[in-house]
Amino acid sequence: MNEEPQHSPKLNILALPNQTTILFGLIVVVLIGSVIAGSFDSQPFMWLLAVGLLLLPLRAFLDWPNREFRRYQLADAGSEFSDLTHIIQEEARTIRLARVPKLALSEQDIDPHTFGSRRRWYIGLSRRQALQLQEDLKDESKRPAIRAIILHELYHFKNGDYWQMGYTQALLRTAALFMTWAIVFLLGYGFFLLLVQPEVLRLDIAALVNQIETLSPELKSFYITLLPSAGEWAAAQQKAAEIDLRFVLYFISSAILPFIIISAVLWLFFYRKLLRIREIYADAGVIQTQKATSFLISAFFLTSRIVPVGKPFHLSILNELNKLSQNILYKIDSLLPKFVTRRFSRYPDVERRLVALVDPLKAFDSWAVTAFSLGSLALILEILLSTPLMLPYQGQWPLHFSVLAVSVVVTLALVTPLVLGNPGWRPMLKIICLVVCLRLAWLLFTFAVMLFLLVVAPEMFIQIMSAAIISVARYSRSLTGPIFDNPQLFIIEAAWVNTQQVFIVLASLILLIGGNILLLRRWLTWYSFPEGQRLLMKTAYGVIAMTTAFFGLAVLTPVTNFLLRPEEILSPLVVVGVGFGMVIGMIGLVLFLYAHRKYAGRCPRCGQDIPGPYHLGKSCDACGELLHPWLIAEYEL
Amino acid sequence: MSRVSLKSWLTRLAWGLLALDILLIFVVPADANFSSLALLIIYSLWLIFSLLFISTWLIIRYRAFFRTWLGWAVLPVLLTTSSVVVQGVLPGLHPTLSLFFAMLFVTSVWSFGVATLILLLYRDVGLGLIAWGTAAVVWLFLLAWRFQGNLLELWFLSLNNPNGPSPLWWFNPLMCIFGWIIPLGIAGFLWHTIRLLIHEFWQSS
Repeated sequence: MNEEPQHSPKLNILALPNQTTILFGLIVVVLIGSVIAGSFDSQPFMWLLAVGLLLLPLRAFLDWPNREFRRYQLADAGSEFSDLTHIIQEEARTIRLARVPKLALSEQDIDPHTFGSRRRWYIGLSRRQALQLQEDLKDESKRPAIRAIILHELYHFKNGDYWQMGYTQALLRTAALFMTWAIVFLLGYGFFLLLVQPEVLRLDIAALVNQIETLSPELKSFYITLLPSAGEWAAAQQKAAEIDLRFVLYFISSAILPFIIISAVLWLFFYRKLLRIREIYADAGVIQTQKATSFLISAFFLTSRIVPVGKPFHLSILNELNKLSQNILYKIDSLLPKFVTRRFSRYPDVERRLVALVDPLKAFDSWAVTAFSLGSLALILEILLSTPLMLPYQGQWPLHFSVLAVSVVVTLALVTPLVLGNPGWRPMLKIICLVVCLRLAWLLFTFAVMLFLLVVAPEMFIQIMSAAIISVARYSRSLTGPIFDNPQLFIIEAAWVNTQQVFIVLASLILLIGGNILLLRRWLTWYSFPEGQRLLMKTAYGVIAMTTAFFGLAVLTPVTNFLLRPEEILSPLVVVGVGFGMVIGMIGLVLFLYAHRKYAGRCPRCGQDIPGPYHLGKSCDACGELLHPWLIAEYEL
Repeated sequence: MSRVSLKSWLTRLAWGLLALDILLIFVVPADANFSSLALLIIYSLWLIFSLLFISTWLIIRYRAFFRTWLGWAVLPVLLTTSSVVVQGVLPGLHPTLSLFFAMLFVTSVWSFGVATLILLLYRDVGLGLIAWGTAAVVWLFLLAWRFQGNLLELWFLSLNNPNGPSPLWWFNPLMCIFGWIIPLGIAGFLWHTIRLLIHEFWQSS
């Protein structure tokens, strides 16, 4: 019989897949992944966009320390803050940080925060607060709380969320700037073409050259030989006449506007969520290092004592304006329900932080919130992939991106219930159902709108659909007739094909995530795995990567080809892909079975067999050794 | 001579030369008969090279102003204004004033390059300048076509009257501005990227 601990063990959330990293990965996948997918078999413009979106944020991330220094007029802390810098060095050593962050001080009132690039790390503080902390350090009773403040900031580096935040910030900023530029430039270009087209169509360049009186007849004939011949010019004009530039404009706006809207949604909701979650992880790090919650709770009160400082006139005016806008926002805030305002906050409220300290499980969202966030991100990805620029990829591989991205994230989210001893099936089914239901609801809504338009304004419906199809398909020719003979049949066919996809996605997700759960439940019983604390979670990531690669190549590729292009199912590309997937799957399975046979269900101390699945706090029947102790957090409440 | 005094000496020299050049432009009649061609060439070359030196040094000396957007924007305005006058948009201009604006045009084309270089040296805005500059050009062409008519025809017709005012008066300064922005923008972007990489991987190690 397993010995149950006297009090229920607390989950070490730092040992589990980091939610900040998952959210960061999702934001990056949605923005960069979709552009890279769109570059597949596409125009050079898309490659340029993909490379730009990948490299420019990286460059902006390296520049982050410089920007922060300029923005807050920061300066390196001098020798008068040696006590504080000494504590930073000590605590950085305690938690084995790769490098010691420097202290940067500002005359402005700023919140303590971390920033940096890959190799330059900083903790930013207001000078007044640094002086206060330096003063508090003289009081022995306050020292642990100050250490908690410093540790909290250091854990942002330890957990890696500082760079995830910095990169996400740079990515969203770059995407917003790039897309704003693209829409301004391309719309200007499109309108210009629209304006110029009729004039160019009736332009006779040879006649214009002949009108130049300052040229000699020889020069005129020389210039005319350089110009396209009359036949070539007429052919070019004919080609230009066939282009309906209204569709070019429609193409531009429908390709770029979703990007702008989606970047805004990611910034408004998901980026803020990332900021909130990272605070809870940093708190978890502090209490695990200090083995108590009381110091961190005292630190919450210490950090709230920032006294406003005297400012130059222009800054004080700005400060007043800022206060005024904040007051207005607070008024609006108080009118909105709390669950709404929480979604926009950059920091978690103290209440949530305290609850997460007492019960680390509360650091995780409920299954419904996880499923809703994930479902909406998957839907965003789906919409983005259906824009004209991405459609060439989405048309060929409609299932891969959403199935694989969602399955990886759901599997990672399910590691927590599995560790707690929950079989994981119920949360899996609930999350998948909600994710798929959101997609289905979006589809049904779209079809309902189409049907409504067809009944109420059939001509308008045909016009809208024709414009959408022509621009999305990147044909800019003028319409000579209806794009489809029977609109009713078109809606039924579109509804059938798209709804069918939803159920294929559902089945794929259940199969892939179900398979992952089966493997991970067995993986959790590898008690005698050497250096489990450091390596075991990495093996779980390896298992998930292998199943995902196998499913993507060996299952989804032939299924997609069978459904969409049955004639290509035996093409070399598909055969090689499936073969490669099978090889990955086989190697993965053999390695898994080998490790399972060697390390599963065996006590690392006495070597006795331990039957049954793992649950948090499980110990060996024979010697009482606590199994996977690194999954448990030890601290006093 | 110490570095500081050299700086102030050069600044005084630049202001003095500027005063002298302006005096020369307004005192020596622009349509004066020089006794020899060599003298005319020397006079013109003196004006051009001294003004280029003066503008370069003064922009470097007062770089704190020219690396702000306001300071930088002064030069495109100066360039456009002088270009418009030089192209004869204002009829019946006195020859001395014409010479003054011609010299101003030459100087402001060069100064704009120096000011852009200074701006891009201090601010990492090379890519933004190119991007928003191209967007502005597209909209400028759009608006010009909308309000001035067929630009191609206007351009061909303006060739018939090379000494008269051109309806496309905005085209020359635009080309001068872009002639500087594109290469300097790319160079500035690369310069800041290399600087960032050195800072990150060399100086921080």
